[in-house]
Amino acid sequence: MMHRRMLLGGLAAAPLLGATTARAQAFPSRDLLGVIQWGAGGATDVTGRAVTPHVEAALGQKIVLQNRTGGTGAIGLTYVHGLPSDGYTLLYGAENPLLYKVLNISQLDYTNFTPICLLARSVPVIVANKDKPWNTLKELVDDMKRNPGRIRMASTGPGGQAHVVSTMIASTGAFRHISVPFDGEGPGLTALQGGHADWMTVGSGAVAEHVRAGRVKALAVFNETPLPSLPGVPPATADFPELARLMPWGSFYGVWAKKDIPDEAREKLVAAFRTGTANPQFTQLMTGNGNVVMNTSGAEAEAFLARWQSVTAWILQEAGAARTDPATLNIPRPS
Amino acid sequence: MGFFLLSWLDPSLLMLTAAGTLAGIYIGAIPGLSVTMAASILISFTFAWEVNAALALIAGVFTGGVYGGSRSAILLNIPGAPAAIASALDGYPLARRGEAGVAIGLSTVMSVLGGFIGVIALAVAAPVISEFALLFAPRDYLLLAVMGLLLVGTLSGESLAKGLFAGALGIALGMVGLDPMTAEGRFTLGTVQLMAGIPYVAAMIGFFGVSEALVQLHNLRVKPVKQDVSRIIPPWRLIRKYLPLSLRSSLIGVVIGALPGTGGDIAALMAYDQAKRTVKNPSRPFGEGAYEGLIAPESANNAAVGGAYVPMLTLGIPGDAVTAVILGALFIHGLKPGPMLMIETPHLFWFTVGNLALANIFLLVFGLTGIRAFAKLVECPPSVLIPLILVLSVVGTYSIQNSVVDVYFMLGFGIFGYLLKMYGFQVGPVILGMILGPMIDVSWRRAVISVGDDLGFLVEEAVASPLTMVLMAFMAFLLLSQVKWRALGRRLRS
Amino acid sequence: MHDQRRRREPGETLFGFVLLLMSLAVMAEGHRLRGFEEVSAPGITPLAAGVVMAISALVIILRTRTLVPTEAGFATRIAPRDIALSVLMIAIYMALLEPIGFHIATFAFLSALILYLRRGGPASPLRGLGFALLLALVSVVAVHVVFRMVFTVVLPQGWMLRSILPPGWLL
Repeated sequence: MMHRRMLLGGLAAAPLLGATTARAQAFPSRDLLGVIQWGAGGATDVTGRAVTPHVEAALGQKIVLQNRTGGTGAIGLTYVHGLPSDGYTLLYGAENPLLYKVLNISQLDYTNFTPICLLARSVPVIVANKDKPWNTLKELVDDMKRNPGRIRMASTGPGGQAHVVSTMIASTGAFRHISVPFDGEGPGLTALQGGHADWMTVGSGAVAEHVRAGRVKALAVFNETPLPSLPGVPPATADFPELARLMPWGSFYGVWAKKDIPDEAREKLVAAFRTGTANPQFTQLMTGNGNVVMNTSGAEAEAFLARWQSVTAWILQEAGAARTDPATLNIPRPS
Repeated sequence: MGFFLLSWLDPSLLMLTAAGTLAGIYIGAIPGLSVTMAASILISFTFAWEVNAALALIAGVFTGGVYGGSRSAILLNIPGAPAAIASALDGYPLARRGEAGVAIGLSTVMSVLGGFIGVIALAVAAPVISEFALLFAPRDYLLLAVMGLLLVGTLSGESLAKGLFAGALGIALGMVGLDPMTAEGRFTLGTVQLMAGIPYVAAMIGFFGVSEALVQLHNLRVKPVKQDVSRIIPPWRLIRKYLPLSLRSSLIGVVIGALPGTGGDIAALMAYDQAKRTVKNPSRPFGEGAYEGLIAPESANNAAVGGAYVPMLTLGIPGDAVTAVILGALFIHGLKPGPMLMIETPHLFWFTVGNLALANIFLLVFGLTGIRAFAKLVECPPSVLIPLILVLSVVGTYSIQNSVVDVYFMLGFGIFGYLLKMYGFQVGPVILGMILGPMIDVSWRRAVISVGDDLGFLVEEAVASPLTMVLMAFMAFLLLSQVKWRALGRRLRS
Repeated sequence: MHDQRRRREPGETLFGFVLLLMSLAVMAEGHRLRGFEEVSAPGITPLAAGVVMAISALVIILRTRTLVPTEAGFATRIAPRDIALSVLMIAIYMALLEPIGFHIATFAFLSALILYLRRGGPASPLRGLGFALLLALVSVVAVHVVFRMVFTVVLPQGWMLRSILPPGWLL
């Protein structure tokens, strides 16, 4: 009741206030809105919700989180882009928008945004059904070359981790396999354990426990060094040294704001997120689960994004999976 | 094992479970507010708490929320949650007859019964059930979805052609958005707004709630039916009579709930179908307020709660959207959800079992109180009730994914659903198609892609799998039982 | 067969053809998405659904033709004044949701519709107005508390208000 009266009062006084609203108090003077472009319970959601309380402490204001899902994240990104560039709206996203233009999903992508902080990245792990004969990545690849079109990989759709990693491995020597798209890493892992798929690539965070329990067999980590959370699993470069040029590669999670927000707001946000991400509780959570904490912003983050996009877009282009040629989008070839 | 009683004995956990259950009932009853949403808010909210407290609260909300959907389904014909769609089919006609009190009482008791079956299944057979769930290949999910779709036959009303049209329309509506397998837009007309698809909860609110509100505008001057609230708690005689049906439905609920990718909504619909096929002499014809048509889905959807916990606790695989959020919560609290959870932290398992059992007891208490006030709600004059239903539909739809576009669709569906009803269609098959369409689409394509588009190989694999053959035999039985043999014989003779 | 008991409602034949058109549109989308070409194409299910819709729509149209029409017209049977006006009000309400925000739009819609539907009732016009305004106000506050405050749903705030309200009012 109170609120209504105050709102109407505000309306009546509106003409007087119109001109003076531009100069607001120091940022942030009210709650922020954080839009998560993936669903509740997913890696982007969990990472975002885990870091936000620490950021709120550093920022001195609450961040109201909401999930806006769909279109591999394009819905949430488009929504944030439609709101004012005042720094009060944040996008909690993952790597997907870097491929929107190549896959013809949306014309808006991270070029319209500025990275506030890249929080963490996951390392892809190549896993197989536990009853399969392969024990190394090389054995799997050799088998696929011997039996083209017989071995089933669980994927998470075009541009997804499994699709890109298998394309990267195939760039060292072509093989043909069946790629069955599932609704995400969890459903893919389920199918793998049920024997409805033979192998797949999945983020370290999602798979570590399943490997530890011996329910799936880890063949390699898609990294140049082994992971502490998966002892004894060799890096993919052990069998295929030429993959090193593509690494580090994998899903990552971060926070973005619109490109043209005021500098003051950007600086405050970057500082708050860097403090929040450095919180030991958060870093322990991430590394314990096999993720790599990034905590990068500014030019360093821009460079990471540009390299990721270039490597991935061109791998897809070479495999014939890109729908728009990265050259026409001015995405440079990886050096 | 001692942890089973932890939340029963610790006063603060006891309170939290109770509060969660009570809140869950209302979250479930308000369309658009979902348990998934509540659970993910609770994660931020309980961030600093001890993990047991967070889990107790969420288990209560989950149990209450799945049940609460039936409240609005019975009273307003708006299923408050997807799991309550089947409950509207006979629950709302009961309220129109002045038996809202009886309907809510019956649905409460049967929900609790189903809930306990789910908890017992979780406690004694979780590892077995989860291994069984892993056996389901894409082709088996396809068969399950097609079986569910056979319900169109029983929901068609006056003509099968109209039922088929509505069902197929629902399937087409379920296809709107980015194709999950190729990321190509379907029916999106090139707009980003449509890429997220049309949430079937929006369609559900439009086709059920708004269209019924518009139909009721015809009876603006008719006095609402007096609700009989003299007997709320169903007599023991009635409970005993329906016990076998409730048990059958609960078993369906546990299994469907345990399958990753299917939840209480599909469980309830399949249980309704099962009831319609197996009950020879229902209290009234199905669709006109049969007690059996309410008991079956209500038992099944609460049994599915226990089922959904099965793969989550044993394998770290979510059984549905809510358990996916709970997995996230466990992770944020520093636990490592996965296959080792039950081996390394068995106390967490028994704590959850105890919690769910406790939540069901609170459900019985809270479910059976305040029914009179709820039933009286329907006695409000329609000139007041209908505008409020419309606003609730708008807010609820908007809240699903904070989208005004969904609200436009919801109203469009409401008007279209009104026309469908006026021209003798049933709207049930549309929602059925929307729920099962995406499952049929991806399961079929996944099954076909798995065999390299070689249909011969698909048949070979199906014949080699005992599970697939059992499902096929079951489906053949359902199809044959649907044919009206006697009528056919009569026609052949003449 | 069962249809014989019912009479043909006004507009029912036209409605049948609208349904047929919808079926064709669904089939066209299935065709665009290669439903005719591969058994695993994104268009396979839309195509199948479209075919079932088209066949059912044809059967529905043929059956409708055999029915005896009702005497009354569209405006009395399907869209009497109460329903037509209510639908119009809902449409305006939704169109205003984004420009003027949820709170004001809902308050205006609720009070207007309740007032309209209760017209000619036993209460005096002034008390009727008071009742409608009060109920609308209570409802808006209740929705705000449950959805905005408890469930942190950011209801449409109104872009027209954004320029006239002081900062801090809107999220």
